[in-house]
Amino acid sequence: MKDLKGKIAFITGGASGIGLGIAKACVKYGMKVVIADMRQASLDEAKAYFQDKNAPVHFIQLDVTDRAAYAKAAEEVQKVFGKLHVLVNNAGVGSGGGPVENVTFKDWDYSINVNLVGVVNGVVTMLPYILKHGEGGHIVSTSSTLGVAAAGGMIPYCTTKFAVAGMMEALATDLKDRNIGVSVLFPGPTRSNLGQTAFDNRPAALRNEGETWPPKPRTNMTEQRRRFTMEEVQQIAFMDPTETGERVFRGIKNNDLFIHTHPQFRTGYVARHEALIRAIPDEPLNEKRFEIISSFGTVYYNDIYDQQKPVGPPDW
Amino acid sequence: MKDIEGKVAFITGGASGIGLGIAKACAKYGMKVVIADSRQDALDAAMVYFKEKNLPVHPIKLDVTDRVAYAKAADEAESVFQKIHVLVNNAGVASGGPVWMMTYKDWDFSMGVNVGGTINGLVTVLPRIIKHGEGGHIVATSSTGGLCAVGGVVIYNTTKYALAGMMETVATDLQDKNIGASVLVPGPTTTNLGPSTFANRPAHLINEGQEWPPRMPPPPKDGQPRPPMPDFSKIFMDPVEMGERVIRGIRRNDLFIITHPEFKEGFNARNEAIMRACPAEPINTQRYELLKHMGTLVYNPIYDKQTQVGPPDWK
Repeated sequence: MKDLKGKIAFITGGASGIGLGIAKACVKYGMKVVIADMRQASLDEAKAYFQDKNAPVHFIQLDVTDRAAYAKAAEEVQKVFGKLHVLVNNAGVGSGGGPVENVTFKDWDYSINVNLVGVVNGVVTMLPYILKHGEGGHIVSTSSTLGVAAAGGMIPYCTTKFAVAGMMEALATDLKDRNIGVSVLFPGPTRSNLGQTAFDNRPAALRNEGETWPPKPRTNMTEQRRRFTMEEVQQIAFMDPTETGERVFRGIKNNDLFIHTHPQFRTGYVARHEALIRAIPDEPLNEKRFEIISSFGTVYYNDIYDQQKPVGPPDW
Repeated sequence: MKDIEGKVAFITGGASGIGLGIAKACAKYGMKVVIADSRQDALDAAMVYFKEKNLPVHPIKLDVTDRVAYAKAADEAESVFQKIHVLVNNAGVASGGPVWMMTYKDWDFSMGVNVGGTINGLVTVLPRIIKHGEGGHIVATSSTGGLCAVGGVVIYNTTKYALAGMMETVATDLQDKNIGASVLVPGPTTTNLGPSTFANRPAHLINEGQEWPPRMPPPPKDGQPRPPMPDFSKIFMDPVEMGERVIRGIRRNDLFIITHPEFKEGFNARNEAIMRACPAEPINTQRYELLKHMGTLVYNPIYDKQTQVGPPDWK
């Protein structure tokens, strides 16, 4: 969506971390913003930040897993700002870290409900509002580098982040001719309080017994990691969410299907793709089947991918 | 898992379609098989085949979204066959229609079976596989639509992508436990996915006013007869062939079991888009060095373990 000035964005998990970074970028470039977040403490901090800047930001306390509340929030957006153009499904949690055999149903249910169903709720609730006014719009959802290539020890997170990627790519395909762009955001490690918020927001019924925050320290850090303090690691390895916000804004403007923040992950993505290609059996094509399948449109080849242009260096 | 003879497989959605094809292949290669399925009529029909051939196959009626029932089914499998080695999370349902028409009921139905059902399999059965220490394998039926998006099936895509990520993580986590994991990536296969999706949809998740099952659209208004549909059963893959490919993938410990080579171009298109989207900027090398020490985050060598798969090598 090229022309964003004066348009309205709705950002879940928008009061801290990546969501707040995106909100700041949207405000910087002249958008009106609704920050929806579950944590009143985060909302209060964000309110304080935007207070003296005379920014058109409205705050809504929202649990994205609550469909009735989401519907109410949608109506509130219409009342306050009149329309909605950009939906940012950013609210997310981590849970069930550790080896897969130790992950409980509660770990799974928490991550699935927020990271997957919460995004579904955003799409089902908000898409009609974006379609309604005919001015076009954009939908972004926060996946992760772990939504492109999996890593060990975070199975519910990986599962939900892969799901979000597929959902956005399919959404982009369906909405191609409706003037609504779609992006999936793949952040690498970012300075946020994801661990803290995931712990705070976890419903009592979904807590495992004896869980604490912060978690017990790991004993298997490599020597290299130990040379740096946690703060130094955060500073060097983790991206400032303000920068994330700039990248997201650029992606919305340019209608990038994929928004990457950390080019360091490229080699890992190539490794996954090359594994896929090696897994394709080295056998002659079934020509008759190939002929039929290649007429099946996007089943066989989805040209939504061809629309992704090369992304350049930071230009803000 | 190289040595499958005499081992036990537990296959959900195992009474028809791809699941039955996998069950037949497992039995052919000397495995004991539990076919778990939500439909009694499908189970009965499948068991006629296995009883005729005197194969060690045990049917269990199971709704994979029912966690209590799943635990009971795993107990029953162990009481009949003592152990489970191979878990095939195959039960799945389809979705169809552009995203703006998809309701919460549509989403909840598919997410519940395809993702929830597989989670239930993992949580219920994996500890039992680890416990006996004889090794094992876990498969989940994803789809070509789990690697690349397709128009008009957003819910299906979402759930099938989820299963790919899930199995890739399982493979990573279980490397040292002698338990492999595979993402099964079928292309079009001759199954009854449509009718079984209709049959399995619970009443509370059917949209109001929706005709179920959906009727064929009326003939075109110009009076011309609708052209005959090609007989896809002669073009799509036979589930028996699918089963052979899955057995091969389990034995070879293929991370990806890709059955239809014609999808290569589509996979490349997605990857090239992902590559073009990587910003052309100098890499922050200090950051890169630190990221490399965060386990498999920035590079997961599980992918390197996938070797080139050859042509069909079964009889």
